[in-house]
Amino acid sequence: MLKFKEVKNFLLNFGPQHPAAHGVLRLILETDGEVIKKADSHIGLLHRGTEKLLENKIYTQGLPYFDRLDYVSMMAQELTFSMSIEKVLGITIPKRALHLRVVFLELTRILNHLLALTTHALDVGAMTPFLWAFEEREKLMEFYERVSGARLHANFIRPGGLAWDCNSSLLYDIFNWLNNFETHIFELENVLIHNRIFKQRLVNIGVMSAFKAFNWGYTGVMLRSTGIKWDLRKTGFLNDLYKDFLVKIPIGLRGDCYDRFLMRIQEMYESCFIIRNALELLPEGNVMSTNSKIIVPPRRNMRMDMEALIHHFKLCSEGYDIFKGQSYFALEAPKGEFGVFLATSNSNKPYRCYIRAPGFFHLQSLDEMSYSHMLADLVTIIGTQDIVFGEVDR
Amino acid sequence: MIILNKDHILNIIKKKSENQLITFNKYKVLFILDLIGLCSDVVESVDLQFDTAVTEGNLNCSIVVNPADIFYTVLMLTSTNIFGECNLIAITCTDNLVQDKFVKDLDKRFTLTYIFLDVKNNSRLNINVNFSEGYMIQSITSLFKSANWLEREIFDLFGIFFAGHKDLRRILTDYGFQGNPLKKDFPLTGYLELRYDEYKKYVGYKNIDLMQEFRVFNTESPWEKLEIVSFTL
Repeated sequence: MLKFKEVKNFLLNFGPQHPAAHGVLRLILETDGEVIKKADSHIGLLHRGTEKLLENKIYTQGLPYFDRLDYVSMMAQELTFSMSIEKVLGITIPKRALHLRVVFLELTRILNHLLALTTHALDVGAMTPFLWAFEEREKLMEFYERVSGARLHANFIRPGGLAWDCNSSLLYDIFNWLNNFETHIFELENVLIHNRIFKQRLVNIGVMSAFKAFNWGYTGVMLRSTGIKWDLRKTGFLNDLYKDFLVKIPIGLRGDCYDRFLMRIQEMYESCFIIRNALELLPEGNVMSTNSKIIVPPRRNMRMDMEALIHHFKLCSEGYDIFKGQSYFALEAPKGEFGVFLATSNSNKPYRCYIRAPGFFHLQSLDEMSYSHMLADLVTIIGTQDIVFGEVDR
Repeated sequence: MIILNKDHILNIIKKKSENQLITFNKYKVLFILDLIGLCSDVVESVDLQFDTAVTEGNLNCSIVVNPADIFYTVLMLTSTNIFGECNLIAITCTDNLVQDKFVKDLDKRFTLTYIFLDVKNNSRLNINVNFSEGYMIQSITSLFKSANWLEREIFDLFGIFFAGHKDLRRILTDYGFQGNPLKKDFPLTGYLELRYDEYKKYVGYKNIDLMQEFRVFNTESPWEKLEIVSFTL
């Protein structure tokens, strides 16, 4: 007589201090041998209550919190918050500021993709590209430092424009850097994309269909890898940001990790193209809107003009009020649709500020994406989702 | 009045049913009738906006729905494609406690906002639901998988229960955390703090001990407000 012995699945704790967890991700894995049956992710280990803090700060003071959400694509988030305020207040932005915003948004995209791609490669086993990319990232952060004074948390893009103008030597250096950088991407591409081991780890891993991607709320590269051509740079709320530029959007075919890898590399080339374009077309003029009820006047005016002094005092202490209502604004951040939902209530602080982080939605699908994959593939999948816990946990 | 035009909706339904067979069940038909007739049972108010800065066809619409009908509203949106290819972008909640302090309208303590994106027509729809504290709202996890963590987050931060959610655990706060941090009656500093006890040699929660009393600087001018030039939502 046959006796069946009941075999239980193996429970495994992954993280929160695992280097491949990209921060503080804790996973409770249910494995059958080495095959994952269930991945229950525990997030919130980096929860800092940004949304609660924002409710207690005036709009200008709330801006630096956005740098600290996704700490590898800082300016994309500043820009979203600034533009959501601009949209609500109906401020128009000078052309030069728009172009410089595009330049820095695309630099941020490169900054993010360099980290995403190479840490992904590092998790999979390729050490060298990581070292190469961080050299380039260092140069990019130097540009950040030169423009804002801070390597990471720039606080450069303000509601109404930019904090100050960039000098021409910086723009010249960015332009020069681009020429060298394209060869660096080419090197990075060369060492990885035809590598047999790398392909074995990535091809047909973490496949998602378009239908599922919609159902899970995917945006950005994750959605585009399934073949949907959806990019907020071209279809978003305020197209005037990218109106002047040709944005080519790479799309995936199979929706696996390898596709996403290739797309991120291609996006870096496209970003280079856009930056070069924006710098060539860069108009002269102001970088800040002149609406003195919302924008702090230039310091030189304050010495001469009493009105400017009053405005400065009022704006720096009281800030500006926004009428009661709700609005949602989103931009194509490097990771996907980064959105800000503002509920305002006739006061100088946001009544409620919800931050829509793309990583939150991608990480949520980890269970389905990693189902019946091997344990080692889980690392690939976390890498391809490009998770940063600053934004997931908020 | 684009979406709620009767002929428009009927045309879409006709087109859709020609292309792909749609089986109408009771709820869908009921909802279509409600939507067309603007019956106050389901849709309480409608607010349509065109985003002028954006390409054609970009429509931003927000409707207020009766809390009991939220599930069918979303079901309707997904199944009959009146709103194109529907993608749940976010669910978020607002606690109206302080905002309506003069009204004392506790029937509308919470506002839940569902933000949908229609990728085909490049338009967005916000569905608002107002309800009181303790109201059990129906979960939409069976329609959108992405609603799972969103609802867990709202449960965690606002203490709203979702009926039909299979895995309603806390998500962002610590294991064993008590209270709902984003409610307006929860203090910014919280009640507990985590600290290392030098003598007992362990890390544990203690009642919060502020070195200095928590201060709120109310910088708002009580007699005048800066004039705002224009306001567009």
